[in-house]
This record gives sequence, structure tokens and C-alpha cells, in this order.
Amino acid sequence: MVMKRAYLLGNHAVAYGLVEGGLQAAFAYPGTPSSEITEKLASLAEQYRFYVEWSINEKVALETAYGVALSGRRAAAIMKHVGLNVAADPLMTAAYTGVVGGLVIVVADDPGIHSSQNEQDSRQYALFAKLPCFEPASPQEALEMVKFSFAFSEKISQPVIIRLVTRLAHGKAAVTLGQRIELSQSTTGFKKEPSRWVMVPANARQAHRRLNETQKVVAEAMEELEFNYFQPGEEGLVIASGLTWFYVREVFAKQENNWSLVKIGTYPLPEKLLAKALKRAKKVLVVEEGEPVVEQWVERLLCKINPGATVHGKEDGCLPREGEVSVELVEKAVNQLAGKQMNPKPVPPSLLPRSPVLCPGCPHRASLHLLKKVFGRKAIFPGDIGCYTLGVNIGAIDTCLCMGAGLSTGAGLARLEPDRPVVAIIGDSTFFHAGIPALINATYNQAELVVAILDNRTTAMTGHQPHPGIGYTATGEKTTEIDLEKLCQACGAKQVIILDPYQVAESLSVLKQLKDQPGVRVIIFRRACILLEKTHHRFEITLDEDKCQGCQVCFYLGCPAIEWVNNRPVINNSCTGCGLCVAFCPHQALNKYEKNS
Amino acid sequence: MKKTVDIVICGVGGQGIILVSDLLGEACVKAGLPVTGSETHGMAQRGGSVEAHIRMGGVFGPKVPLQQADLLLALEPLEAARFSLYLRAEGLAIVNLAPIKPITQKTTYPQQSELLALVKKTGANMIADDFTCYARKIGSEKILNVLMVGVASPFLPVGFDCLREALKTVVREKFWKINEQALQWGRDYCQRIFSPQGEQGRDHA
Repeated sequence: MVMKRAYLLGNHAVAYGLVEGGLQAAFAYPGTPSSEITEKLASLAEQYRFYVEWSINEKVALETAYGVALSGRRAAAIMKHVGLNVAADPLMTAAYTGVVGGLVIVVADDPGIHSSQNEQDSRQYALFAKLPCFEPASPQEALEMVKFSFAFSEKISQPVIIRLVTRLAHGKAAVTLGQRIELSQSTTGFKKEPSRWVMVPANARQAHRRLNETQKVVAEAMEELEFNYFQPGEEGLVIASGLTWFYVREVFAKQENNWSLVKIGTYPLPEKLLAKALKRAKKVLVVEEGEPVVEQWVERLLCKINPGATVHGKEDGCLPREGEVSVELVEKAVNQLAGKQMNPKPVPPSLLPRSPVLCPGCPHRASLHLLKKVFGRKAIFPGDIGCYTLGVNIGAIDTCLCMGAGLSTGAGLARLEPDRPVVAIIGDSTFFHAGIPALINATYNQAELVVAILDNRTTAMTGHQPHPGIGYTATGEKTTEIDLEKLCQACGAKQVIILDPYQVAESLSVLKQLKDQPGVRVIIFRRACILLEKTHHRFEITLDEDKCQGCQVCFYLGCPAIEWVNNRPVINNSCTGCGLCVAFCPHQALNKYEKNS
Repeated sequence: MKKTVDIVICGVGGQGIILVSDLLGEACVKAGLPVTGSETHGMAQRGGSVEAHIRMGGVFGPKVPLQQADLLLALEPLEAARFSLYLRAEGLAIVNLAPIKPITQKTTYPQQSELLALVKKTGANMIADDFTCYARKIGSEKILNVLMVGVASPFLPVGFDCLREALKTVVREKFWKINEQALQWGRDYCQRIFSPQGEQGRDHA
């Protein structure tokens, strides 16, 4: 890798950091805002000769990466914040056993909830598992930290967590790339050492003691790292972690006063460095994304070394508890503490919102409307995580909790509401990720449940990554394609039916038959994501003005290709010709014609 | 012009806003300028409003603070109004007037004059035109994004050569020619407006 400067996405800088750090194998499940790291790795794998895979879920990804690390090689597991919940089980005990080769766990948090179901803070997982965590302030620092973290992980024989946030992951900057570390080939591979690797109680007790002893070593090591530093100044003190460091710097670039500043990039915090800064402070403002992790830590330190000082941040309302931090919020907090007045910031104009919608021709739209039509208003539609969650806008998704929860929530709802049909809706990738145990549980315990798997042949929402049902890998090689139909049959489903959601009439009649039958029934709606379809415009859609009654059934399908003008539908040029509106028009006013005939 | 040029680019998912951010960012790299930025991915891309921030010469965080943007590059008028609160009073808004209606909303699309009034209220100057129409004439609505960068190019802290070079990094070779045409067209358009004989930029709507 020659010295090169490029305008890079934070996630791409992380990928280069992994590569430069000597990565030998990477494992990930897609999830915004983390997906681009692994996509970039997949594009570099051949050139730099490392292995990369899309794993079935984050738990499997972390465990597989752990296996690589036990063999003395450098591995990474990459996921979004809620993915770490799925991987929490191996995480907690991997901290006990430790590792041999460097193991880096990259976790992308989503403060502000841009594309997630919550805004949990992964630093708390690091504290919970007693593992070190690095939090970069910029794409360049992300590259440096990630690169460094392999060697650090090996030095302390512990996995290392890298915490990103959306604005870092999807932030961009001119980044200078470096050289890939060439590792010596002297690794001896996996060495049998049951007392270390087999966590039976006798060994686990010892391992817990080792983990606790390591804490001191790690804390000491953090004092030496330049990811933290103290910039002495006057008056107050601002402590800022991760990306917020630059928000603070920007605010003080405009201020006349020159407060002391501390940049935090590591957990555990560098307590000695902090003590120096805290000793003479009167007012301390703590700025961080997520929960008041640094703030509470600083409060504890102050009790010991400077109890007279006051701490401000998320706990006293100086900064909001929820959402993202911004330059504006930091400025407001600093001025408030300095007793300065500020001009009010402009209020966003109240304008017609533009919410995300399912694409024109999206097969999910067809599947969701078919289910609504057949199962009716009384039915409950527990949903899941994916593009189809947008079905909430058309009344076809009633719950969304976490990956795979639609099936199990559905089984629960159906158990004590036997007179209401329950139709769990889940995507193909999500089904592989966390739906399989829930399906087996439903059949084993004889739930009355319809399961609709919306099989659009990809992981669409996160940018079209492959999964076990597709037949090719992250790097594009052909592989075993898991047969969803046979899989569901093997899970014990009485009926497994494959439907093409574009075939509306046929699907309706099959679904009606299925509706009143007992047991777990699986419908696989198979139709590739419209963004992957090469042949758009299968049909041209036209309106017969005389037949149209202005009933708006077509409009309420929620398709961006159907506009409503002068009490009539107008098909705009984003139409892909899927024909759903034609099939749903109760007055046969919409017609379709083969394009090339 | 001050050293850092803060730009907010906005529009609708699918209009190629990330490409604009890449183009401007790469141009900074070619010009040896520092640069930071931020963009929208994931859920927001499915036809939602999309914003990208880019701070040419910027050394701080990825987001442009409110009322601090020197330039608002709006590929759609409703989005121009929505993101106008980023503009500083002496800033410049370049607004494409071709509307994209949020289809699944029953409410009617606001009047153009209402939207532009919100932009003007910031005190910023404005160049507004139906750039989609010009893009179509050159050959494709898809090049609207690059055409509008061309219009903005005289106000950027990088040379036009850097932009043209950067285009080759961010656009696939088979689309170089049409994009270069769009970039040049945009630049000529802007220079026409600001030439002594041309109309004045302010309120060119």
C-alpha cells in the first residue's frame, strides 16, 4: 500500500486500518452504519490476501473471528450496535479466555437513531465485559486506532472493541493511507490449553481472576497512548470523547476564552492524565455521544481528588440525554456555563415531510398488500428488521423489536389470541440471521402461526449483501445455496408454499386456502429486489379514464410511481411495470401491456 | 472568501448526492486542501430527503453547523427550503426548481414561491433555475448533480481543473464525457449570470 491520500468514508478508513494492521480474516453481518467496512474489505481481500465473509449473524461472526484469534492470527468481527447484543454471549466469555492473535471487534453505534431500533451505547458493553475500547475522533484516527489495536490486543491477550458512531462511520475526510504490517509467519497455530480455553467452572474462576488482574495493566497502558491528551488552558475544563472532540474544538475556535480541554479516545479512561486536568478545575463539562459514561467516571474521580468542582453534561441537563451531540449543542452548553447569552438558533420550517418509502415495483409492497387483503383487519402482523419494516406506512407491520422477533412475538400473540390470525413477516436475510430458532420453536410448541418470508434474494436495506440463501459469498465466489423451502420443512412447518407476489390472482387464491388451516404455515414470497432486477418495465401501465371511479385503491398501495392528480391516478416515469396496481384496481381501469409488443 | 467553504448538498434519495460529496472531496484532495464531510445512508435513502455536508478546507467535525453554510446546493426546491436553515446570511443558495413530489403524502406540494421565500429569508443570495431541464437537454437527468456542481464551481476553493480531474476518480469511465459536459455547462451558466452583460445572480428566479 503506497502512501496515498483519498477522500474516504469513515468506514472505509476503518477497513484500511484493519488491512494495514495485518488483518487475516474478517467476519460480519451487515447493519447500518457498519456495512461499508466489510464491503470495502471484500474489495481488498484478493489484493492483500486475507479472508472476509458475511456471516449468518453477529454471534457466529464473533465466534468465528475468535476461532481465528485462538490460532494466533489477526481477526476482526464487525457489526452495528444492536448486533453486539446478538454477540454478547461470546463477548462476555471471550473476555475471560482472552485471545492469542489480535481480535478487534468493530461496533458502530447509531446515536440519533438514523437507521436502527434504539441508540444503545457500546462503551457500556466494553465496561460490562471488562474489555478495552477505543473511540476515534476522525476517519484518520479511526485508521490509526484500528491498525494499532491488533498489536494492543496481542499485547494484553484480550479482544479490543472499537466504538464508532454514525457521524464517524458515515463521515468523510481526506485520509492518508499507510503500509500494511507484514507479519512473520511464525505462528504455531492453535495450542491445546484446556485450563485457558475450556470455560468449565474451575477454569472460569481462574480466568475471571486473570481478567481482573489485566484491568490494571490495561489502565496503565492507556496513560501512554496519544489517543488521549490534555490541552491546558484557563477557567473551565471540557472533556470530550470520540467525534465530539472536534465539535468542542470548533466551538472554542470561535470563543475568546481558552478553556482547558481533554480529548478521550480510550476506555478505561486515562485516570492519571484526567487527574492532572481535574485537580485545578472548578467547572467540568463532559461531552460524549450516548450515555454519560465518561461523565459518571469523572464524577467518581472528582469525589476523590477535587470534590469542590461541579460536573456538567447529560445528567444535569446541560446536554440532552437522547440523540446526537452537535456543535450547536456544545456551544450552547459552553455559553450556559460561562453565563453568556446566545442568539436563538433557527427553528426548522414545518414542511411537507419526505419519508422513506418502498421503491416503485418493490416486491415487498405486493406481498404486504396480499397479506392484508387475505387476512383482513383483524389480523396481527408482527414485523421484523428490513426494508419491509416500511410496511408500517401501509398498515402491514404491527411490531418491530429486533432481528427475528417477529416470529416469536407472533407465536406469543397467537397463543392467547386464538381468534385473530397472526401473520409474522420476516425477510430472507433476517430469517437466516435469527428466524430459524423461532420457527422451530413455533412448530415444536404447535403455535397457530402464518410465517411470511419475503425472499427478495438479498440483504436489501443495508446495500444488497449476499446471505446463505443466495449461493455466493461476500467475495463473489459460488457456494452452497441453502434451500429455504427445505429448511422450513425441516424446521417442522406443516405447509411451505412458494409464491411470486407479482402473480396476484394466483397468490390470493393460495393464501385464502391457507388462511383457515391449522399449525405453522410458511409462505415464501420469492421475487428479487427491484433494485437488482435488470429488466424493468415489463409492462406499460395505462389508465382507462372512463372506468376509473377515483376510488384511490391504487393510490393507497403507497407506490411512488402513482401520483394523484385531479382525482385520477397518474403513473409517473418511476413505474417499473410490476402490475400490482392493475391487479388491485377494483374497476379494471388500469391496464398493462407488454412493452415490446 | 474565507478559508473553509462549508457546503450543504440536499435533495431526494436517488439524485446522486453522495457522488457530489465524493466529487468535491476528491477535488480537495487533488488541491491539497483538508476536507471533512458527512452523508446519509440506510433508511433515509429509500426516497427520503437526503443531505450531505462537505467542508472544503475544513479541519473540524463532519457536520456544518446551522446558519454557517457558505453554499446550499439544493437539487430539489422543497429540500432547499427544508435545509435553508443551514445557510448563513451572506451565503449562496443554488436551487434546482424541478420539484419531486413526496408521492405517498396526500397533502399538496407547496408553492414554489413559498419555498423560495424561505430560502431568501436567510438573507443569502440565490441562483434558482430548472436545472433538470438543462440536464435533460445535455442528455440525461442523471447528470443534474454534476451540472449543479459546475454552477457552484466559481465559488469553490479548488480550481476547475481539480474538479475535472476528480470527476475521473468518482465517475465510471463510460460516463466521463457526458459528466464533463455537464460540469462545463454549469460553469458557463454561472459565468453568464455574473458577467457584466448578464443578469445579476441575486434573486435569479
